[in-house]
Amino acid sequence: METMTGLLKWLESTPLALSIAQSTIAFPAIEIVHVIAITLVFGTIAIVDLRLLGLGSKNRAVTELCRDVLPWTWAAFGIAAISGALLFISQATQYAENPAFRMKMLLMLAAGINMAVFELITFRGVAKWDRDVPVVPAGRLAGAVSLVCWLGVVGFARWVGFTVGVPEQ
Amino acid sequence: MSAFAQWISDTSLSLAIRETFWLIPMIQIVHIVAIVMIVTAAVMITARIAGLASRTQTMREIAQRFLPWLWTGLVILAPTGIVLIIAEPQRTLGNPTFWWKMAMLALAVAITASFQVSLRRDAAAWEDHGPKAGPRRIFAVSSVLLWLGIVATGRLIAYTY
Repeated sequence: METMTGLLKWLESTPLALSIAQSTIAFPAIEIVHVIAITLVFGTIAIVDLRLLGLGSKNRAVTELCRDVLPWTWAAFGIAAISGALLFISQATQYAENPAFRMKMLLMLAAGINMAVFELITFRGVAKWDRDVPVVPAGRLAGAVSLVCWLGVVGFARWVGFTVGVPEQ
Repeated sequence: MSAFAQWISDTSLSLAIRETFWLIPMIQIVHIVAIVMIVTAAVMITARIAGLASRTQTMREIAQRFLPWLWTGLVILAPTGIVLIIAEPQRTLGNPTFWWKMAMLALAVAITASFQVSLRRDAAAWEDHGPKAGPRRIFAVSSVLLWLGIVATGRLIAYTY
């Protein structure tokens, strides 16, 4: 674990991290981008999840909806990840130690595993439940797990904001 | 405004909310989920207007799909926002950033309502991708920019009070 502490301290001491921590504008600006991105990640993935649960966009084929919406999800996730990394390095030690931050990372990992299982296994049989019929139970479960995970990410993210705060100027 | 904010702050309701340590974060999270509904709905509708997404769906279908989420989001936003104001009046009512947020919110709601009326009157016009589509696209993009501005000022409240 000492190498981890060393790594975190090194990250915090990089010129990039220091410039973010010490600027009055940089942290809030990056945070705003991060918040907007995560808003769109959750919102767009919810569109797909609700379709899997049979609660929304029922007139659209699952495959067509995924093709239409998921590129936005990925684009938003990319922006969220980059802005998140920039925020992280500015207070790396504090974030890494924070229980809410760890839960946020854990839930994202869970969401990722859920997505992988869905894409690689469940989705193979999609032709049978693409339109007009209820989605198979495995697909519905994936939708539910995804919603719970991302709602949790949003909740813990807000808690991180409360408990870690912004860099001291 | 300062005296009014102080008066609210002194009420037992305001104190009670502040003293329950998890209440403000919990209400903020609900407030955030509402904003997720609103921003996503606005982005999806605007994307359709700009021809960037959901091209297999008609304008009317997309509006019917997403506008209810937008209005539901606003219905949740209002009471949660009011509770947050009651809990911390100086941070909100006494903060210029908050009033910028309210001004943008009023404008965004007006734009959304006028879009809905216009769509009901002439859905076909919104499907038009010809040279006259420009103003409608600007209109749609402005509404998304306003919602993003609302998110930004919302976050900035914490930095400016």
